Amino acid sequence: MKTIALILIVFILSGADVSAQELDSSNPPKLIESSETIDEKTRVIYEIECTFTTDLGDYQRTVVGNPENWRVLGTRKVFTVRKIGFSIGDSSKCWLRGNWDLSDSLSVLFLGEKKEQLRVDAHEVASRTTKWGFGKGKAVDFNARRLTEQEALYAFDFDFKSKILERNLSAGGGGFWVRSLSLDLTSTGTVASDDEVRNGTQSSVAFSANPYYFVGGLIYGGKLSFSYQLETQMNAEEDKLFDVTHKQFKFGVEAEVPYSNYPVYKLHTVTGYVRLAMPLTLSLEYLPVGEGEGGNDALARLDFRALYELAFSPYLIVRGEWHHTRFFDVPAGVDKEASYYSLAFAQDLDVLKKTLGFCKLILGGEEDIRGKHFMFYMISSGGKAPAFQDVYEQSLGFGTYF
Amino acid sequence: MKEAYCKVIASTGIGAAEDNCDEIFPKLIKVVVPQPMHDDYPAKLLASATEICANEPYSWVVKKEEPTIDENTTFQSLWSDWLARIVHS
Repeated sequence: MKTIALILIVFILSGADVSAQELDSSNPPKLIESSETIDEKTRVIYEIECTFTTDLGDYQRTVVGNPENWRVLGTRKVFTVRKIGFSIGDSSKCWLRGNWDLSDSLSVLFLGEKKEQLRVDAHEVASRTTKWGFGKGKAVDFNARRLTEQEALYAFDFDFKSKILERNLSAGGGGFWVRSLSLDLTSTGTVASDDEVRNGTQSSVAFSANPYYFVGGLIYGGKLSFSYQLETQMNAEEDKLFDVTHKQFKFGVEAEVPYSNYPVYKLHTVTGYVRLAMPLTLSLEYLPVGEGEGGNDALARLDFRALYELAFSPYLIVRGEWHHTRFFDVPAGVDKEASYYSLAFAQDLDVLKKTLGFCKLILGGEEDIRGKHFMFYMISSGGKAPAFQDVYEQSLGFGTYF
Repeated sequence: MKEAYCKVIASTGIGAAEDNCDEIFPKLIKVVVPQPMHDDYPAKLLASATEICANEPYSWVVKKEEPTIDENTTFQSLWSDWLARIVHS
């Protein structure tokens, strides 16, 4: 008798829980693009993500997890729910798997144990997530520096990029992954107070693809691009700061090698400072013959660049950069090759806030500025695009990058 | 779940080749994602999460949703607000 009473109490309590289990009408079902791997083959599936008003306990999961308790309705068809998955981190969600017709309008019906019905309007179901986006990903980095060995020379380095148009793909399989295709606007360069400084800008409109390759437990980033580029230099004779000197197409390949981060991470575990998971970045660009100054051709060239950074602590960040350019069909008397290197030693400005209290007034009080602003000392030598002036510079500066 | 997260983070270069999640995790979750990583780190994370979590030994389904990273995002929030939301059994 006691056992029967206990079963009844459990049944009543369980029943009360289930009847309270309702789809959250303020967070309607969404069509979600997901990846599933079966027999080492990754494929894209489309699931319907449903959110309940409260967390799903073990008992509710048995009710919600029964495909018989769901209906997915198209305009003229009822789709079969084949499988129901549950979130590992969010107990209020579940996912319905089935062969949906993505062009149809879908309605989701949760019947529940007591056959209660909650209908979600078809137009509330979200559409596919891959679509073109406009004007995303704007970013500007900026440096200001004073050249120490010159009388009064100042230089400003900038790096601007924005995606004019982007199609987010996030698609792939077998370790190969393409994030997006995009049309980018980029501009980078140095504007200085004198043409003795390596003064010049490169601006381009580029069509880019961003592939990633996953191997050996590491992800290697990359970039393939095709662009049209304008280069400017300072023309002191004509008193022009931005004199367009080259107009060329450009084909670029970039690769990021993350394994080189291992020593950096080991340091970070000791110092507690993560400046950046900076991979070794290698890039190769080919520029065919283009339009130069005064109706002359701009020489075809191959630019190679390597960049690496080691963040020992906020007090010492070292960054090295090396460029090498090879020109083709060079006229007699003109250098066929140009090389450039720079070595920068930087401190995170966060250290000033910690060591000099009054700096908090300038650097934002209690705001966390780690990894945002730096002061640096940089040595550079040689010539690089676009100016190719073979100069040796030492400079002190501040920047959001260096 | 924690172990899978450590593998995802390690694959992007932080703690590359490191295989000691218990050591990494408590230190890592307090760290704010550095600003220079904001641009392409979300894509790398999603690619890594898909490769790691959708395959053995986890075999989870992974929602194609990149994390939103801003100046307040920590590695803790990447774990609890992003990875935990996009994977399911």
